[in-house]
Parts: sequence; structure tokens; C-alpha cells
Amino acid sequence: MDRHEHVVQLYGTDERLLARNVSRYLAEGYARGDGLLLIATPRHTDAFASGLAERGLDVPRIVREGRLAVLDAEELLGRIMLDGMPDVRLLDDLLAGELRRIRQRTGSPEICAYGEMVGILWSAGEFAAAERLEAHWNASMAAGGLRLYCAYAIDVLGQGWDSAAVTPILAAHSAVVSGGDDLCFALHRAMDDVLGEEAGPLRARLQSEGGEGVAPGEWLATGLAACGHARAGEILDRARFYQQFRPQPA
Amino acid sequence: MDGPTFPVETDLERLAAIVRSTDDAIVSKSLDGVIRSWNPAAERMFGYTAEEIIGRSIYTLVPPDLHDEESQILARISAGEHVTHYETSRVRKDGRRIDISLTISPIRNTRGELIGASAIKRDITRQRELEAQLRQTQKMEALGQLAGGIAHDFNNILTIIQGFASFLTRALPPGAQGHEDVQGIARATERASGLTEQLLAFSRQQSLKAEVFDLSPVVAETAALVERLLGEHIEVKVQLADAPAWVHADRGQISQVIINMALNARDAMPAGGTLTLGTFVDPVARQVVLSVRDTGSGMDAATRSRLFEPFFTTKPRGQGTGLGLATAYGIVTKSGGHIEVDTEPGAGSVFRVVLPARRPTPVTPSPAPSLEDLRGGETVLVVDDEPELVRLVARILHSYGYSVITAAGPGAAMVAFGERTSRIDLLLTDVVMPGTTGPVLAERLRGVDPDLVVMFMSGYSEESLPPSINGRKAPLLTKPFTPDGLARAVRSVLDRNAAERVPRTGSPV
Repeated sequence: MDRHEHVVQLYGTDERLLARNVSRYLAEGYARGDGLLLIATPRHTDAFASGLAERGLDVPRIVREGRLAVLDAEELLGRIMLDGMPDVRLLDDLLAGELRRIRQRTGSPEICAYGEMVGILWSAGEFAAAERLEAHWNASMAAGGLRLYCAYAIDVLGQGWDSAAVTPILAAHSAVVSGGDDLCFALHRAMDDVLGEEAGPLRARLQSEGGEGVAPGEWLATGLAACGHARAGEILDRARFYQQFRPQPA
Repeated sequence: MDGPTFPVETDLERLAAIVRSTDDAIVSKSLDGVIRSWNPAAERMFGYTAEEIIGRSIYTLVPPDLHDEESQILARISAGEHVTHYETSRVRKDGRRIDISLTISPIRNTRGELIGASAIKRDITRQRELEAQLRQTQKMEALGQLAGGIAHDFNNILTIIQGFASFLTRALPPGAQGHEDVQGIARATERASGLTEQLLAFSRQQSLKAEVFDLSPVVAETAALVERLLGEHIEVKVQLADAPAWVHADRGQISQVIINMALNARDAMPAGGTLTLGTFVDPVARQVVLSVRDTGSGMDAATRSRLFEPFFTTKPRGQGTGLGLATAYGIVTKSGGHIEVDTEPGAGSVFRVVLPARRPTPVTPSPAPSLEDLRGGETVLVVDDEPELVRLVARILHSYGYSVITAAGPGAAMVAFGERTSRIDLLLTDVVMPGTTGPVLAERLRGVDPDLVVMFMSGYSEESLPPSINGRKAPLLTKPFTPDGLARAVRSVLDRNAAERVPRTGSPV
């Protein structure tokens, strides 16, 4: 990942993939000498910290040294929400001290952060609040010294997929972390099954419109959902099945 | 077709010697199924001598339900086909059915005309039995693992129910509305706890709790249970030794031995009879004998000789596992004893479980610590991936005066350990959690603080867990536990550790 990026992962229900990606992202930040900030639910904190330990990091020590700070995302959200929207000045006040302490302890201006307050807001149906918070993160990152990994429990192939709602979220980030090879495989296989020879032209059209920084699987799914093709729903249903039960290559 | 070449006389003799000495039955028959030759291995396999069988129909050896199959084989041979490694069944002279593998080849005369068939038959009964035993063992192993897993999860749930019911019991004094209801929940939980113990026993994950005890009261208690199990057509009598019958074993497992033997006796008395359970102390041989006598059909020598073999059963397929007496045998030998059997057809059976007599362990009753003695002010880090259990344990320990830090799993525990602002005196952690296990977590945290005291809690037994952490055995609190049981265990492990440890000077937090 390039420096000062604001990336997002739509992990659906695949929390193992999320834990693997986030712990790798944090471990890489640690190796660079960045400070680490984790704003996560206790369950995800547990998974990410275990992932860091499996990558050989001495978690109790780096916490003790102040190089990794952990905040409870739900608790922090509870403190900054006012009238259904995040109070971003309050958030800045609450985080300023934490960020300063981390920078002092590491001696580096760079902080590698993970945040899922936006994901929690999204899951609660608070789309506007999530967008507001994302916009604020982008503004904060403009000053430099912060890179951020966001995560949403959005299922790319899910029944509740809403392109109109998801597009602003994708647009708020500099890159979408890939949901893995399985997603691409499932989509391509489903398109071939449903459309046969017609799959090629549609695939080419969707890929030519490819969004910068968006992983191919996620982009293909977004494009399919939005393209208005008569059989798009059928393709996505089949892809969902293939993602869960990957068949042998045809 | 070329005519066959005839071997010289010495070759014929050699071939004849091979046919006589082989372990495979070699039989030839004419195309109409009349047996023409019969080697010594065939005599051993089927029980007929050559004189008895040559000239008789091959159908003599074929079970009636397989006559059609044999007809088809003869038809194939008549068409000049070979039959290789065909697995089927045959009947011995004594009526016993055996499984065999057949290879049949046509026999032609010098003109190339078919005149019969030669069959090589290999007894694969034992192989089939072993395969069946392996399948059964694998099935039991899988069932055991399933049962153990269910018991583990269920123990977590029971701990939570039991713990919160206990809080409610305290909050609702006798006479208060709801008090009896909560007592009902507590009683049901105890029964459920007994069920999980049985599941764990079945999956062989139950801890052995060997102790010195008087066998006679255990026999008397089990007799009451046996009476209900056997039904009214069997009278149960108990004859106990006058002197205490001290043995060293697991009470529960000895009860299991009695039950298994009683069930065996029940099957030997389908029309009813008497079962007598007794104990006897032999001071000279320093032995205690538990006897189980029935007035049933008894056993012949063949059955007697295979009695304790796993999966050996005289019951029809599907009506017995053949594990009851094998399990009893395993338990008794594990307890340093042996089993003697006296039986004759028609004269009933007596099983004598002979165990070494032990001296009673002097018990110095130590006063149970009062609830006040169980209080503490130490800090405990509680780790479990079951949030309700963490909440329960934290609440219990708080109520006994402890400071508690909770973690939703090993990763969160490592973070909490790094964030601590005061010393953590005890790590109380679940063992089996997704990702990092409790022992690995303990090892990592002891890397930071070698003096960290560790206690595990688990729905699994001690036997199925890693025995040591950093070369030192960590105590295990098995679920389900009561609030008092938890407080007692925590206090005990902290006190024991404080007594063992060289005074610490200014260890870092």
C-alpha cells in the first residue's frame, strides 16, 4: 500500500480474511516504524492482536511501549455521536492526545490506523453518518502522517447490495482491498455459466469502465449490480453460490 | 487350440505337494457342480474330509440364499470365463458361515473341451471381521469426538446458567416469590451436568478420579440403579462383606463395571432369574472381590474365551455393541485388578472382579473455608471467547473482592496485559479458543512476566489438555463450576503460589 492511503475492505462475513489483511497491514506499519492505532470492536481487536502475535510481534510489549494504542470503536462512537451525526471536532479532541502520545513513543510522525466506526454506522443503517465520518477522515489525512484502513461488513454479492449507497463509500477511499481470488473466480464463472458467449463482451465493457484503485472483483460486482443487465441478478446469485462452494475448474 | 503339455512325473509330484501344503482351499468340480478333488486346506476350511465331500454337490457348501449366485458362476465357467477374487460366503460342516474370496478357472481336457472348474478359496472371515472392527472403532471414535465436543460447549452454557441462577438464589431468600423456581433451575442444571459427565465418559475424556473408598456402599447404591434397569422379571440381591472393602479406583467407573455386567446378565436371563451382587474381603490375599452372579443360560467355552474381546457379542447384529464387558475389563485392569469368570451352559455365570485391597486413607477433615476466607484483593485477567461466561466470572470475582480485567480472547488479553496499570496476579483463561489457545497465551504472557500465575478453565477434562506450561503444570478448573467453586479455586491457586514463591522484590508491572 502506498503511503497516506485510505483503503477500505468490504468483508461481508469473511472475518478471517479481514483479520489476515488487517494484521498484515499493521505488521507492515510496525516494521516501517509507524505507530499503530486500532479503533475496533473488542472481537476484532482480539482477532487482529492474535494475528499480530502470529506474525511474531510481542503484542503486550508494543502496547506497553505505546507503539500500539487500542480504542473500542463502539465506545468511541457512543461518545462522538450527536443527533445522529458524528461530532468531528469532538472526535479530533479525543484522538489528538492519543495520536500525539503514539508519535512521541515511536519518534515517527507516521501512524498506521485501522478504523471501523464507519462500518458500525453503516451496519446500523446510518449511511449519511458513515459518509460524513469518511469525509472527515479524508480531511484529517490531508495533513499527512496518517494512513487508514476501514472495514465494512458489506457483502459484495449480498442480496442487500445497494450500488447507489455503496458508490460514495468506495469513492471516499483511495483503494478497495480485494475480497480475494474467490470473488473474481466466482463472478467470472457465474457470468460464463449464465451468459455463455455473451459473457465476453459484457465483461470487457465492465472492465473497461474499471474504477481506479478498486479491486477487480469488487468492481465487477458493483458494475454488474448497476449495469441493468436483465440477468445480472441471476449472475450474482450464482456467483454467491460459487464463492461459498468453489467447484472444480470447468 | 493347442493341446496342453503334460508335466513330467516329478513336476506332477511337486504340484501335488503344493496343492497339499497350501493354506488356500483348492477344489475342483465338474460342470454339473459335483466336487471332484479336495485338498487338506479345504478340509480345514470347511470341516469335511475328502472322503466325505468328493462326489457331493458343490451346493453343499453354498448357503441357500446364494444358490442363484453359484448357478451364475457355473454358467460363466461353462462359457469358458474365469472368475477372479470374487468375495462371497460359504457354509462349513458345523453350519458356521464363512466369508471367502474365490478364484475359479475352467478345466479343459486334452481336446480343449471344458470338463469342469478348479476353485481356489481363501478364508477372509477374519479379514472381514477386522474391517468391521475398524469401521466400528472409527465410528465410535467419531461419535466420541462429537460427544466430547458437545459436552464441552454444553459445559460452557451450564456454567453460565448455574452461575446466574446462583446469583438469583442469593437475591431471592427462601419464601420469596420465584425462589422455588430458581431452585428448580439449579436442580435441572445439576442433572444436565450429570449428562455431560456421561457424554465425556463415553468419549473417554472424563478425568479418572481414583481414590480409596469402601466398595460395599457403592455396590449397594448401584444395585438400586441396576434394579430399575433390569426390569421386574429379574430379582436383584445384594450380599455385602461385613468388613469394609477398601479399594483404590474411580467410583463412577466401578459403578459402570457393575452396570455393564448386570446388563450382560440380563441378556442371559430373558425369562427372568436372580442377579446377586456381592462383596468379599480376602485378608490373606489382600484382595477385595466384587461378584456378579446370574442364574441365566451360562456360556460355552468358546464364548467364554472371547468374552472380553472388544466387539465380541452373541447378540444379533445391531442389538449389542460388544463393548460392555470389554469396557469393564479395561476399567478393572486399569485399576490394578482382574476379572475371573465361572460359567457353564445352563448353570449361570459368576463374574468376580478382583481388586487389590487398600488401607483406608486417614482423612483429616479440614474445615471448609468460610466465604470470607475466599475473598481476595488481587487482580485477575479473565479470558474466554464466550462473552456471557466472561461477564459471569467477572461478576463472581468482583463479588469476592477481586479486581477483574476481562478479554474477549487471547489477542484482546495480550492488549489488556500491555495496557495494565497495576500488576496482574492471575491469568484465568479458557483453553480451547479460536486461533491462539489458552496455553499459548499463557506462554506469551509469561514471556513478559515469568511470575504470572495461570489457571485454566475448560469444559474438557485435564487428560485432553496440554499438561504443562513452561515446564510447570497449571491447575485446571473444569466447567461447569459454581460461584463458590470458582472463588475457592482462585483463592487456592493464589495462596499456594504465594506460599511457594520466593518473595518478589519490586518486579515490574
